[in-house]
Amino acid sequence: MSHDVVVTGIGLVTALGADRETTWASILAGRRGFAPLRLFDLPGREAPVVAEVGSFPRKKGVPKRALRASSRTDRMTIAAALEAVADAGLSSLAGAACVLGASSAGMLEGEEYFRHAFEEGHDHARRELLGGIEAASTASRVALALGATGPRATFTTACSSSAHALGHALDLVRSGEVEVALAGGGDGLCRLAAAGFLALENVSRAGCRPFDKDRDGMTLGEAAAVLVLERAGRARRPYARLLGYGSACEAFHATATDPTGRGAEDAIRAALTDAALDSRAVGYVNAHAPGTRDNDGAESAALARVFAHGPAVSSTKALHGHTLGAAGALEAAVTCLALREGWLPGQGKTHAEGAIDVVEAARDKRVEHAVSLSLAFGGNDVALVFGAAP
Amino acid sequence: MIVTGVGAVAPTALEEVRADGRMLAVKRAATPATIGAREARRLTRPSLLALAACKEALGDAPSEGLGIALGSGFGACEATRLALEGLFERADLVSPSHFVASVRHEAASSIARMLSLRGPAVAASARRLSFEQALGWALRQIGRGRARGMLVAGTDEVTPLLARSLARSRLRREPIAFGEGAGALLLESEGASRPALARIEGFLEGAGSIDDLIAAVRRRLGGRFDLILTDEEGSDRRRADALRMGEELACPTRATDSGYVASGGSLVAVAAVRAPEKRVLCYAREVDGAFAAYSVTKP
Repeated sequence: MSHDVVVTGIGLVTALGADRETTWASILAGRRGFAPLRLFDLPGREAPVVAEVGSFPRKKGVPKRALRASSRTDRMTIAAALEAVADAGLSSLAGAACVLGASSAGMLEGEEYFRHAFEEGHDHARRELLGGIEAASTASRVALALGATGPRATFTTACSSSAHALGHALDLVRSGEVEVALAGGGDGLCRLAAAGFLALENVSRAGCRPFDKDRDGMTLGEAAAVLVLERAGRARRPYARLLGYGSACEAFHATATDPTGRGAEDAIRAALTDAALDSRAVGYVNAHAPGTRDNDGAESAALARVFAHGPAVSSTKALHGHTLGAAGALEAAVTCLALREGWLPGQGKTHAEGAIDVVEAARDKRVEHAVSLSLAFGGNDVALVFGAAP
Repeated sequence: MIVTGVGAVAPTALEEVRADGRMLAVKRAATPATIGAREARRLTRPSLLALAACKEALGDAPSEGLGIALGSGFGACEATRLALEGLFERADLVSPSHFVASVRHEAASSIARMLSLRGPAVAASARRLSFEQALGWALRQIGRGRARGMLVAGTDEVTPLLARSLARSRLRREPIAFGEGAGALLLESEGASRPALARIEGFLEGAGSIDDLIAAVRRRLGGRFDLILTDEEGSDRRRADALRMGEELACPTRATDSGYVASGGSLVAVAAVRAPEKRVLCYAREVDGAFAAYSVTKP
């Protein structure tokens, strides 16, 4: 038996706001959450422009066990999950799945372990700090914090991690294995990712400009985004239907994108097939487009081949930054909000290459179907297809 | 879903690492002969171990229409250490190649590239359920018709750092051995051109006590097995769990002897396919209560 699946709750912690409504209002206003990095120093480097999360709520009632030795990423994700569950109006998560994506996860704390280990020896470093480098830590803590007693999973494909999480959760609910799933991801900024991307020379100096002819790289960000997926018919006022999930591997290069965009195209076509939807029905694409020269060019080529009718396209990374393991879920959440509210998010002034219909300022337009696309290191590409709620 | 190929790199050599003032035994795997010098130079150790297992599982099967799902509990620990070394003094000297190698799904994407696997691809990480989560995801990809087949693998390395850091919290409670290795299955849907070595049935996952796991196995799999197989790290609690499984399901229980490999479930799966027993129950359970189980049935 196959069940229809709807998104019934959304929780967000982003550089644009510590909750869903503030983040969405900022996106509609076209506000960018960029500023020089303050969270930590990078000796030998000028502080890059990043999208850093400010304060976020720490709700009472979360079991201490879920918070003991937790990482900043764990706590951000728990906050987002609590907001999502409250938004869905769920009182119990007994039997619910918890599926998350992570890339850096709690590496910021893991780095402290290594700092002590390098300076004083491993036998003197605080073992509990190392828990942060276990990607599964966040899903385990979120499940414990909210009492989700069903299956758990953590996917780690860098920038497409939490898109995979949503796709897997779709399969779990659609097949009837669970009725409710928490799905999303969290990733906090850390030294390793910041220094690593700077070393790869694909970080923008002043803030990313996706699809712009003068784009100069990405803007690293951090976020937590959790969505509640439920079997259709249970929920009061769903945001959207999650219709399809597809993934493909470019099998091309460790970091560079296949310039033909073939992997992205394969992922989108697989997701449309999974959704049993014709590409011409798609009215909006929330693109991956981090603002790097190679990625955005390849992605444009893929979009042009799949969507010859020219749907509206935007990359909201121009506002909330590239949040790595949280990006897929955050951008899926933005896509769901766009479907429910009838507003397509913009990405700011763009001198776009090619014939893509880039949304610059938020556009008052209702569409029936939308795609959220996530591409990653190593060519791990994922597409999700959403439909407007009935 | 049928298994048409298996491959494994199991640990054999015992080595000693100093941890918290005592010597700790770890089980290392030899670098497989199927790995060329160029691959050995370019790949992290978890990638190298997994590549060897995947090559063996794939055999001469065509890669067209195949995807990959790879579980790893800790990823490339040594690459992470190398990337972080010096970061605190000079962030501008971080090596791009060490950073790229430290990315958690490096093994999955490297293998996809080397074996030309262009289908669905994922990396899963859930401590000792890492392989099982990759397996569950892979079964669904084939079941939904998204891939003709999937290579499903698990891999983990043992490094002095990892052995030390894990041992510090565990040694106080119970003696355990750490190991490394990789296992891989080639899964295909019914009707594949290659003969079936075994069938994977009744994959289940959830969270709860060992009794909840046993109840789920009875409900989903019927409870009639010739062998129960799990991984082994020498802990008293896990031995007690295994004994209880055996008693409740009236079936002999055996453990692989790889030591604690986070994704050791991959070695369990390979051992189950190779075992002479006709119907084998494989299971794994994490300290947070998450569990997974499935049966491997021979034709």
